Amino acid sequence: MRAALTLFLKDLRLEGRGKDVLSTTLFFAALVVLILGFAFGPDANKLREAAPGVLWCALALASVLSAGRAWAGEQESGALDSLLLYPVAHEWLYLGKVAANALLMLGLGAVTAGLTALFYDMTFASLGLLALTLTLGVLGLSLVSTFYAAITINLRAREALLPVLSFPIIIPVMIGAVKSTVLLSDPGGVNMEDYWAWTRLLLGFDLLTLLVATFAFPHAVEG
Amino acid sequence: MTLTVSAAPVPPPLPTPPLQLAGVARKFGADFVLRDVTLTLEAGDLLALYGGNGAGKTTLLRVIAGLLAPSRGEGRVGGYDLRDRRSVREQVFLLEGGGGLYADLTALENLRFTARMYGLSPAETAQRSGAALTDVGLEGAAHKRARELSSGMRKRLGLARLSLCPAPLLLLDEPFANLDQEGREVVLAQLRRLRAQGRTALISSHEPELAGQVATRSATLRAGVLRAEVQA
Repeated sequence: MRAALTLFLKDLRLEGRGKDVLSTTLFFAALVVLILGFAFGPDANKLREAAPGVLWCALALASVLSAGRAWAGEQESGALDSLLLYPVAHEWLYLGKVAANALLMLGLGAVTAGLTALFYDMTFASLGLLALTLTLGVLGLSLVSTFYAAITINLRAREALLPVLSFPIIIPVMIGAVKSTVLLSDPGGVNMEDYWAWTRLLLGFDLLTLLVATFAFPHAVEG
Repeated sequence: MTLTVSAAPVPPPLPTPPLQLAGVARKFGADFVLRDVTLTLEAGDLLALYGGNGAGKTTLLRVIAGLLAPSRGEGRVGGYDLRDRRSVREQVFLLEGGGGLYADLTALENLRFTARMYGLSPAETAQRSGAALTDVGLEGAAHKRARELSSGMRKRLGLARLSLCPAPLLLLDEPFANLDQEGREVVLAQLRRLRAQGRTALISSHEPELAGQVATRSATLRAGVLRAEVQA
């Protein structure tokens, strides 16, 4: 637990100084939102309908970038081997990295949701429920992308492999998060029964992935 | 009547050598980089491992540290099988060229991170990190980021991490490389300190005149074969 916290704080401190991950992912996510906006054309209704999907596509792509940078930073500084050699259970390293990545992604998610609302004329019925959806959604994305980013870090084609491996796994997150966001942005009011059903899917996915990935992580990185 | 059975006194357990390798080999693709390396380090040994570039020194250190699995042979680190990586991690400290440093953390923050990852308490971390910096003559650079230090100073900072690590076996990969005279003196002083503390280390180097000053034993690795081990 102490190791996870130490790693989490170290990652946040480094990000606070370099802003490598936030600046690149924020710019990237904003571009995705903008480009897809142009692709859908000027029809306001069409844009509003597409907005939840655009938001989560941007976040899914950014999560891969963010997790990749989190491990690549360790490798580029020559500290990856040292990190793996500390006498701590590797599960804690994974949890520390996920926590830092998820927190950054949450900040990114809030800004991207704001940008999407602005560009696509989307309104949310409840900011509290939006925060819950964003939290569960980006946690799911971070759990998957951080896991695969670690096991592809030493591969030559890691940039290509990371999305290929992680995107099929995050399909339940995308479905749950997009459906929840559609319900939250419904001008006719939120169907709470449906909203909680999709939220339960997100929560279940997060818990299951947390357990499986945490258990599998040491075996995956130790090869 | 009471029957008393007196058990024979149990002898104290024999101390386990920090490192035992028997016929360890490692190959990359079809090429063997290490061939049948057999080596034992007793507690307090400082073995200087000489060899030119590509001799297999770094590979050997990485196999011992558990970062690479041996292709053949058996090995024990502190009594634990080399394949038991989780236990081996508690027995070794590997210092490679980059020193395991984060460029955007200050010198002191880098050491504090190491100390915390080794389980030191916050009070111990604060006290021992400062002392470790002083040991390598970097107390004046405590609040400089690692990226602002010269390569020699970064090397010394990496070496300062040794003082925070309780692992019984230290593996140092080319600690004298890319250092000026002052830096080499600092490294030698640090290694003499380790020797005085009775710590066990394997130091790879292609500079026998330097490593030989502190080593208790030496050996040469050529084309992956360990040769001519001598008592220093």
